[in-house]
Amino acid sequence: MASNEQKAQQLIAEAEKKLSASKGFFSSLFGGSAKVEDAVECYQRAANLFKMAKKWTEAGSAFCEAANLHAKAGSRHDAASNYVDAANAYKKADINEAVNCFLKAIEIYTDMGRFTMAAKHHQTIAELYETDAIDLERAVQHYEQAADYFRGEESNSSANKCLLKVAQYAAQLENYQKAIQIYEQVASSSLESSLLKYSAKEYLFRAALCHLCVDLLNAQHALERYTQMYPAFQDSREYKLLQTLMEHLEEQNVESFTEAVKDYDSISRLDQWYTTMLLRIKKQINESPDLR
Amino acid sequence: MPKMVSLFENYEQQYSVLTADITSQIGLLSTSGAKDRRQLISNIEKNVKEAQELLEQMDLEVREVEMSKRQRCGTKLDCYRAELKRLTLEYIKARSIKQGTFNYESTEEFEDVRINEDQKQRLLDNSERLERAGKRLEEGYKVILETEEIGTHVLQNLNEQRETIQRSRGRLRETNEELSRSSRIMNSMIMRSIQQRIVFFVVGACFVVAISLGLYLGFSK
Repeated sequence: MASNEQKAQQLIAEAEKKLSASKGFFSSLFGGSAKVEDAVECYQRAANLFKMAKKWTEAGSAFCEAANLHAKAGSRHDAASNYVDAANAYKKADINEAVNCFLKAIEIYTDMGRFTMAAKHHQTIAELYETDAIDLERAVQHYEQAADYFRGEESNSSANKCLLKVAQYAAQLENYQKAIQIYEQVASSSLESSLLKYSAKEYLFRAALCHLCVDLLNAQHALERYTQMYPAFQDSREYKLLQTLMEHLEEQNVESFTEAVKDYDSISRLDQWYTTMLLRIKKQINESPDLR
Repeated sequence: MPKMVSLFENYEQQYSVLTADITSQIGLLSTSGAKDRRQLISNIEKNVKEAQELLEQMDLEVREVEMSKRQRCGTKLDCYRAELKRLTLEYIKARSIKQGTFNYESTEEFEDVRINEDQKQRLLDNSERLERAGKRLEEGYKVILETEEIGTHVLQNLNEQRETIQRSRGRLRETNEELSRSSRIMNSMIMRSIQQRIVFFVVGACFVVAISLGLYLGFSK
């Protein structure tokens, strides 16, 4: 590992020497561009050696140097690729730097009209904010941007995937209206496809839970609307659970509410998101006692 | 008094005939068909009733027997009672063992069937089996739901792949169009270069002709 690091340092020194040599007047006239290309190659090799030595920050900065040189030389595609490589190296050490590199790559790709690539990188940034930096609001922003780009490129399934993430985090951040709107939109677009119509009941279930977090009456109206939208939803376990929960909410019966959730959970496990939402709904019963 | 004893003995003979009948009929009960079985059951019940009446008669007779023989007759009577009780239990057992395998039209036949240990055990086994079946059903239901979920994910993946393939096809078509356009441009370039070459040769030939003409005219003067 140490030998790899030393080799990498030597290559960087060599690249810098070549760059300083290419800055002279005569050398720029006679084969200056060739020296820049050699320097870029040295930086790339150095970056790969740093990666082998698990020196992620150094690898990232080497890739960044290569990218900057490519950008100056006008080969934008290579510059963007190197920025992505730099970001992937920085990912393991410095998330903010990784995000900056991804944003530079995105800028180049959008300028080139490669929106699918830009969308993918926005998605990667969102995932970084979601898992490592844990900044859900920024994650939501990047997922939204990715969804926009995907939608523009007619990648509807990828767009929906990003939108569902937006809805999930919007609901967690108590922005229920946005979550409801997205879930309903995705559900209605899923119902148009013969392959995706089976996923619709999950989205409608999530939307209904978001409604319940806001207001019981609206939730009841929404549920009626959903059954008109997708008649098969009425036969699902999700619909039956929602009906039961609404009854118990009306009766302000916490025990029965908990029991209904427990019964559902005993057959198909509820994930973290569902648990959070159901706890919020249950909290409403405790906070708003029956005034009859 | 001897008359009394002879009457008791007469009852004894009748009783022994009845018990022999009951025993043989109980034996037949376990191997008989549905119709024969009904007949046998009614016969056994009739015989048991008769035997009980005989024992009552014998009890009355014993009271009138002289003291010296009363003890012996009383002991005999107790033995007969015990025997009849044993036969009755045997009959109930034989009837309840076969109960599950026959469909009875009348409910009268179940009147004096008491739940014994065997039946309790069977009930427990059945409830246990039911519970196991219920659990298995529940597990099956869970598996079905899981399968449905997996199916949904598979369909989503298929949809994504369909979109990817459609995009690739679109790109291929675009590339194909670009290629045909570039080949047209290349052809026109080739044609132009050929034209230019022809023009060049024609001009060259003209020059050569002009020069040779000039030289010829110059030298001819």
